[in-house]
Amino acid sequence: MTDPNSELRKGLAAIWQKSLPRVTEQIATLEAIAAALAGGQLDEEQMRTGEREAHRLAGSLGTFGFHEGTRIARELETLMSSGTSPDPAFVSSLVNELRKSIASEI
Amino acid sequence: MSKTILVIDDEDNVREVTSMSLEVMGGWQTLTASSGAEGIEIAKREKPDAILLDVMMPGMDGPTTFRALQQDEATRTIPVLLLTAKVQAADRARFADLGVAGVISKPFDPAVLPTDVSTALGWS
Repeated sequence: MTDPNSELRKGLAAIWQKSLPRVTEQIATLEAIAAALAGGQLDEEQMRTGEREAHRLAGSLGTFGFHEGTRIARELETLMSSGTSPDPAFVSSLVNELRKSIASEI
Repeated sequence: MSKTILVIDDEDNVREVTSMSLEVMGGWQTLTASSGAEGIEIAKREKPDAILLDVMMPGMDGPTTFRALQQDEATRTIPVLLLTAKVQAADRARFADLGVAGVISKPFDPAVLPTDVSTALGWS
């Protein structure tokens, strides 16, 4: 008889592997946005994109066990939805931390 | 008879994890939809026992989809749980005011999601 917990773990691992290209793309988007912010060239649409991708990552990474990733993504989402231009160095550092938080998987 | 839950979320991995959790840990059957519009059509046709509905979706977002489900006689009695990564109190209050059966926070633990769903819906 299959143990449900074991089946769940295997299933999660398989879904995570399928998710990796999308997650990699989302982090790359955030890295591009951080670079644009640092260069003083970030427009409102890009900020909304950043907010949206950070929100999506915040809502999904923890489900796969990457709780630190969720925490960092949530912080990025908050910064990008604040209505004021966030500190570029801080955003860059957070995006770096986000990538590191799942570095073993990418 | 096993219950059927419709999962409406635009993110592929969220739909997959949610379905797997509900099926493997909850023993339920699931249907999925990647948009509010698709979800409404499936709900009308299949009459699921409950709906898990993502809040942030392009096009018809969760609240808009919920209002449409409420306005249709075929779907208005299906209990809806919102799935959201929004943690601000103002957002949560807005969701509660909609009249949904409950709100499930993302990220969720797939091992306990069915328990949270059962509790929210009053299923034994």
